Amino acid sequence: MLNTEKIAVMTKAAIYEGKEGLQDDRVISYFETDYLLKGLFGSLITYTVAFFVIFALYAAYHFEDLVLLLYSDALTPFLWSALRIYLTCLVPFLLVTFLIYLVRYHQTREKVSSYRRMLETLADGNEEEKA
Amino acid sequence: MNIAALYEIRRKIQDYFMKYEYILKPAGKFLLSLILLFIIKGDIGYNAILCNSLLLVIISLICALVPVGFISAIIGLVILGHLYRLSLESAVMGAVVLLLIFLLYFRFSPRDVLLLLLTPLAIKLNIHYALPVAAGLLCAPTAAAPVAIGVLVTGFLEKIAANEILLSGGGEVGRSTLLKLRFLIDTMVQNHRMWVTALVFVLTTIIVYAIRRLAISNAWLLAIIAGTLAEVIGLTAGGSRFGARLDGVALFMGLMMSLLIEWAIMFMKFNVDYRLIESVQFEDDDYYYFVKAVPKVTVPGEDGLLPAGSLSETTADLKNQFVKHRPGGRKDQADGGGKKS
Repeated sequence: MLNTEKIAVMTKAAIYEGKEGLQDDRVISYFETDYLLKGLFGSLITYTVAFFVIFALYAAYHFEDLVLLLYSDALTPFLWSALRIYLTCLVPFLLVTFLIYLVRYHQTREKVSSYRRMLETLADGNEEEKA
Repeated sequence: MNIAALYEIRRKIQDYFMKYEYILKPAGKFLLSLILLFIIKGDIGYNAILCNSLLLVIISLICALVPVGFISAIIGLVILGHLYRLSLESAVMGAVVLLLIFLLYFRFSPRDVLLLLLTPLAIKLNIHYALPVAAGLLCAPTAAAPVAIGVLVTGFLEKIAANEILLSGGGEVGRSTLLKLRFLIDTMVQNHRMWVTALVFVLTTIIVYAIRRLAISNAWLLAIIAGTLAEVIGLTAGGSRFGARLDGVALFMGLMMSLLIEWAIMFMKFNVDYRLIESVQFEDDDYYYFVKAVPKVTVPGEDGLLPAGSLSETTADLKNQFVKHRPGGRKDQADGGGKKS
């Protein structure tokens, strides 16, 4: 005789494993702090590359002015301004990254906990059947 | 047509999609890719090879088999192919835009990239006002990003198409690489209508998401109304502030069609009967529960049976289901879920 409740739980567990299980497993294999730091470090690298790309566009737009700047005393203040802009935009970007990764980690942990509860339910059911 | 007939149609559509999902998903991706490639061909079709219809069909067939994220990468490469044929400077600017999108958005492994692909199509059909509201109803607030990016990319390509003679080498500006690059940067930065639209869409998505998550009756309907009002006010105010005049008739028609689409989304996704709200309270050893149950509106299937949790079940039955299916839930609480207050 088929145990329909057991089949329902097994189906849900199998669907989870097939769709998100592998990806969630990779996320949950990190400690929370490590996962957040990994995300922040990746964001730092991509943001820095993006900043240099935008700076290159700016340089192309103000090409003649920048060439004159190279031979004047205003080069150092210009570079300090560029650094200030870099840091000013970096902080909110890292904050957004932090929030996204934090929410993602907690949501993944909930899903994995729910999956483990399903497995415990199945294990309890198996023990009852054997008894 | 009465409301019961609509519910019946909805159930049949849901059954049909569940039954044929394995065909409909790749077919949908194929159609979407094909339409986007033909839109690109119509707007910036400068590369004769990439305008070949057979090649576009083959590319669409490939897109049908890959994840949605890869589709956006393939579409991006096709765009670059067309822009390279127009001028090197256009291709460089296009590559920079796509690179920035990749660096700042795609590194978060976005799940809502479908919205990015739907935006150009929606703009062509003048129903793009539905996208931020749909994003707020169906996705997380981060879905605002792909909608905004879609608006920016479409705006960029529209400006390229409008200035193709200049960018291909015509006129004073067209003779100089530096001047062409400056022109392209100016078209991006000074396209106020594009930036206003992107910003309004981001705010609309966030507003819609915040309201539909509230635990109030008719939250989804209120979210749709609030989102539409936010769009109207934002686009009108932004347009008058930056001198970007809006076509009132096109805006009105677009908003009406978008409202229809949003109502359809609400009907398909979240159809509940707020007249039959049941509030219950009960407790167990760990918690005191305050539960508000809003029944879904369902129609019987072909076998005449209602799905579980449907309108005909009583509150006690619902509580029994809750206790029964909670891991470790005790069977002796099945008569009412514990003490009632």
